[in-house]
Amino acid sequence: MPETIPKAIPETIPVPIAETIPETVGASLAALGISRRALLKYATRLATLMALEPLAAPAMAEALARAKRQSVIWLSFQECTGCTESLTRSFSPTLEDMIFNLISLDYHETLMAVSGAAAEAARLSAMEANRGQYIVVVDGSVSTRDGGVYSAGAGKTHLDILRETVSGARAVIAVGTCASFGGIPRARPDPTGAAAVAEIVTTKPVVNIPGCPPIPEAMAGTIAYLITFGKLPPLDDKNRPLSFFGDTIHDRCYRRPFYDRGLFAKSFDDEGARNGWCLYELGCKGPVTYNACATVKWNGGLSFPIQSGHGCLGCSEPGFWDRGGFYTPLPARTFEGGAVPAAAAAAGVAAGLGSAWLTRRRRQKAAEEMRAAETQDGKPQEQKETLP
Amino acid sequence: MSARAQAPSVLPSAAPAASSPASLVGSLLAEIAAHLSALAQNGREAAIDLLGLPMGEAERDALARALGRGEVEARLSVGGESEIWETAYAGVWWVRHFGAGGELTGERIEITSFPAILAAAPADIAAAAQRLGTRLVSPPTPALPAALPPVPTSHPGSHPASHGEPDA
Repeated sequence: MPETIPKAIPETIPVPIAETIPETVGASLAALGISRRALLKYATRLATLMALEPLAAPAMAEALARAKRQSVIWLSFQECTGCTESLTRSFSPTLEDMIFNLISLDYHETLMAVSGAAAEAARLSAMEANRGQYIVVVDGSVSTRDGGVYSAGAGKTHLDILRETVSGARAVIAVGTCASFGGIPRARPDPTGAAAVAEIVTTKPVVNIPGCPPIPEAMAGTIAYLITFGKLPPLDDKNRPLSFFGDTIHDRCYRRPFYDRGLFAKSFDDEGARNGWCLYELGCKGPVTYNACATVKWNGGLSFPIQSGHGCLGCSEPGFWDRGGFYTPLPARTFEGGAVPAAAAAAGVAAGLGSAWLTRRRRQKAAEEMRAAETQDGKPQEQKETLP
Repeated sequence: MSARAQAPSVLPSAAPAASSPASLVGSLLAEIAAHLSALAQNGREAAIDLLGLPMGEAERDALARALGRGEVEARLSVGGESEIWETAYAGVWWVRHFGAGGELTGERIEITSFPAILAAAPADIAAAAQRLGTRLVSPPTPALPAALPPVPTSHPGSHPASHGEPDA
């Protein structure tokens, strides 16, 4: 650790222009050649995603068109950039891009063109010009151990940057499981003292949009809701928008009929797996995970983990990273109030434990066979068993 | 053509009665009938979001068959394609939206005299009026003068495969 941290922003750097762009969303769309019809189609999509009254779409489009572009300051801390990737690599770019026409992204370390002192000056001037009006989006958890020195930028700890930036914010949106609940950096032994945004920011409204990464529609939809209605959408007890996090994966999973009939895949690529049976015994955390993967899905509605044959990891829940193995089936008692057929659950647990052991044993055996084959003639031989 | 994401159809054949096509379609038709009466009597519009309902392919097809087709069909190209058609019941429209990648992003039944998204928006009309007006006072760039030589259609050094064909 250097003893002296260099001064962040020399006073002589000219302040770049980062005030609120005075034009409305409608005007900026018109300048880009995007019709109001496109905005209405986008608002219709949002109404579907946010489970709003279908007839609300024209009013939403009108409100969006009249609104000034919302100033957004995006802070990135202990994160992998997956959340930004999820939002910017959306499958239907024409409509998902729309969110970037609704906002003025005044600061984003990965996306903005400038860096260094000029970037930090942009952040401070945007905060000043839009005091009380800007939204802070945070991805990544915040280091708190030893004063937060393990995660820092521009000569300040991220802890200080967060506290400073939210001081004039209208609301804070924590995207991703790291910002919402601590995430992977918090995994044992939690060397940096990784904290969630809500554990640090207590004086401003905080919305959590967890997921590793979150579904892009969940991020865009929540931001658009906030811009359109000027308030937070209905939230659950973990401050997650109910329209995306109101149901568990299990509640909306298309493989539910197989669960109800006790038809489970016992190992990857067995006959049950190939028939699309329930993945409970292969460790699926769907029953205890709240997210929209089973309905909104990923990559523009293409698929989601269970549909692709892998159990849910529970990545939008606190502590998912230290809950034991991804392939260990849930014990029946973790179900809270759900109508779970006890026999299926008990059978699942017994069979699941057995199958988990079998899977591990097979994996060990396959690894042993591969090592034996390699030592025989120096080349790895073709695998007889499929590794999970 | 519709690249709608669809789970593989490996569900058991005996589906529970609550989600049989007949009952869901029946209740939807009853809801549409109520909305259509309200529209006829006092002009009140309504819409039903089909994507928010637990409908499978079978139910959707059954509903489409029940409602049939009317006199109007429209295709939109805005942020991806959209299909809108009037059903056999005047005032009941089927609206289907696709994203730029062809995935289904919205599907709804609108009970209205005219779906809002088909109409030209006032702001777009104003912008178009300005654009057309500008075009009338400053006409497009005139054609190039005839003195420039035409592009040669064959060249002594051209590839044998393209001999006799005009250059791109």
